Amino acid sequence: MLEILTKLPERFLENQEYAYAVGRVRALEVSLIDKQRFERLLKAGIEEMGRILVDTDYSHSLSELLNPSTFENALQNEKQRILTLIDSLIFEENVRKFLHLEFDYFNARVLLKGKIFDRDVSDFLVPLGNLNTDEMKQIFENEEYEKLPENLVKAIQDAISSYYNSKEPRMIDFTFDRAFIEHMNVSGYPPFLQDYYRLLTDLTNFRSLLRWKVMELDKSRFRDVLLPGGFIPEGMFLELIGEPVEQIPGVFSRWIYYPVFLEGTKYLNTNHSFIRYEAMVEKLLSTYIDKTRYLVFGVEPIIAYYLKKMKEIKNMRIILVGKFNGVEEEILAERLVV
Amino acid sequence: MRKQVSATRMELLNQKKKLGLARRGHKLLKDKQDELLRVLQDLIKEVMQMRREVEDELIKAMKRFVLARAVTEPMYIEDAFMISTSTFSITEARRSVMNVKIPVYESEFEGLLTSYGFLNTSGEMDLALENLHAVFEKMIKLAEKERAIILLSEEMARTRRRVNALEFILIPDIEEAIKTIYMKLSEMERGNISRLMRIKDVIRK
Repeated sequence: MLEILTKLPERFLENQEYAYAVGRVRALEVSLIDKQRFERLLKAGIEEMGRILVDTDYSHSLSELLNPSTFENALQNEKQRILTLIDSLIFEENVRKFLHLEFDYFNARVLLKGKIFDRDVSDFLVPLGNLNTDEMKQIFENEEYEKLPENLVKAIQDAISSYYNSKEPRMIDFTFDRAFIEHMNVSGYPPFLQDYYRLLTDLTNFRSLLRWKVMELDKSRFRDVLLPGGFIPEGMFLELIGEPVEQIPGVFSRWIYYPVFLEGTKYLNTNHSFIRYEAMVEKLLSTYIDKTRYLVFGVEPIIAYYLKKMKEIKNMRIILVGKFNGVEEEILAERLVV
Repeated sequence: MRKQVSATRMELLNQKKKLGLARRGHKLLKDKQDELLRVLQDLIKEVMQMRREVEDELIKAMKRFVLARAVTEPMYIEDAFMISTSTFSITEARRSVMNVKIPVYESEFEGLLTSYGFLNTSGEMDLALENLHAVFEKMIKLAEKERAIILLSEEMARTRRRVNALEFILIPDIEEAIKTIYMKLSEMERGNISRLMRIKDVIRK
C-alpha cells in the first residue's frame, strides 16, 4: 500500500512562516491515539476504556464519551476544539476557510431541502461553517441567495433545477457533493489538500460505481452521481457501468488504486460488503497524509494533523458505536484504520 | 340439569331424530377440528421457520446499519434520512380457510430506496436499506400468517367447545332422555299387560 503513493508527485509549499505552528502540531501529534491503544480499546469493556483513555485528549470528557446517549456530544466537542485550534494555527484565510467549507455546503443543502419540502431543519444545522447558521436560515427564508458566496449560489441554483427536472431529492445531494468537490479544485488552495480531494474523488467515484451496480440503479442516471476533478476521468467510470463487477478493477490495472479496487471488489463479491473497500480507502488516504511526516515547514503538516484527528474521532466513533451495539470485535477491527 | 321430556312415542321419535342429527353434527365438527388442527400445525411450522429467518435477517440488517452509522458522521446520517422519496402502501383482502376469513396483505413499494448523496455516506448504508427492504416484505407475510394462526386458533377453540358440548352434554342428554322415555313406555306397556291380565282373570271367575 505504501509504495502506491510514491508515484504521486509531492506538491508541498513548505512555507517557513509555519515553523512555530508545525512545531506545535508535532508536539500534539504525540498525543494522538496510536494503533496499540486502539487495539486495547477494541478488546476492552466500557469501564476499561475509561482507564485506557485517561491520558489522551478525551480525558476531560470521559464520562460523557463512555455514555451511549452523550458520546456524540463529546466527539463533536472534540471536533470543534480541533477546528478552533487549527484556525489559530493557520494564518492564511482561504486555507482556514477551506476546512470549514464542508459545513457551509452541508448547511446550505439541508436548508434547501427544508425550503423545498417545507420542513423545519434548524436542528440539523451544524455551527462549524464559515457562515453563521442563523444568517443562512434568514437568507433561505427570504430567498436572498445572492448574499451567499458565489460557489454556493451556483450550487443552490443547480440543485434547484436538477431537483425540479427529476423530482428526486437525491439530486440535491448529488449536486451539492459535486459543487463541493468542484470548489476544492479552485486554485489558491494548497496543492497537498487539492490532491487529497482528487484522490478522495477517484475513490468515491469507484465506490459509487460499485454501489450503483449493487443497487441495480438506472444505468443512464449514473452520470448524476459522479464527482468531477479526480485523477481518473469521469468517462472511464461511465464506460464501466455496463460491465460485470468482477471485471471492473482490471481496467484500472495501470492506476495507483489498482490494489485497493481489486481487493475491495473481491471482498464485495464474496462477502457482499463494502467494509474492506472503505477501510482500504482510509488506509490509502492515511498513507497520503503521512507524506507530510518529515516536512519541517508549511501548512501541510497542520492540515495533516487536522485530518489525522478527524480520522481518530471517526475511529473512536466506530469503537463506541460498535461497543454500545454489541458488534463483534473482528468486524470492528476490520473497519478500523490507524 | 336434565330436560323434562314427555314419555310419548312421538317424543321418542323426535329424540331419536335429534340424536341422529347431533351425532352427524358431532362427526362433522370433529372432522373440522381435526382439519383445523392439521392446518394450524402446518402454519405454525411455517411461521416458526419464517420468524427465525426474519429475525436473522433483521439482525443482519441492523448490524449493517450500526456499522454504517459508526463510519458516518451523524450530521450526514440525519441528512440522509431527512427526506424520503419512496411510498409504501398495504392493502388487505380476505380468503376463506375452513370458513374462517383470514387476511391476505398485499404491499406495494414505490420510489427509490436511497435518497442521499454518495460522497459522505457508506456503501453499508445502501446494503442495510436493501436488507431492511427485503426483510420488510417477509415481515408482512409473517404478519399475515400470524394473524391467520390467531383467527384459526380462535375458530379451533370455538369448534372444540361445540364438539365437547355435543359429545359430553347434548348427546348423553338425548341418550338419557331416550332411555328414560323407553323405560317409561316399557313400564306403561307392562302396566297395561298386567291390567289386562287382571281384567281377564276377573271376567273368567
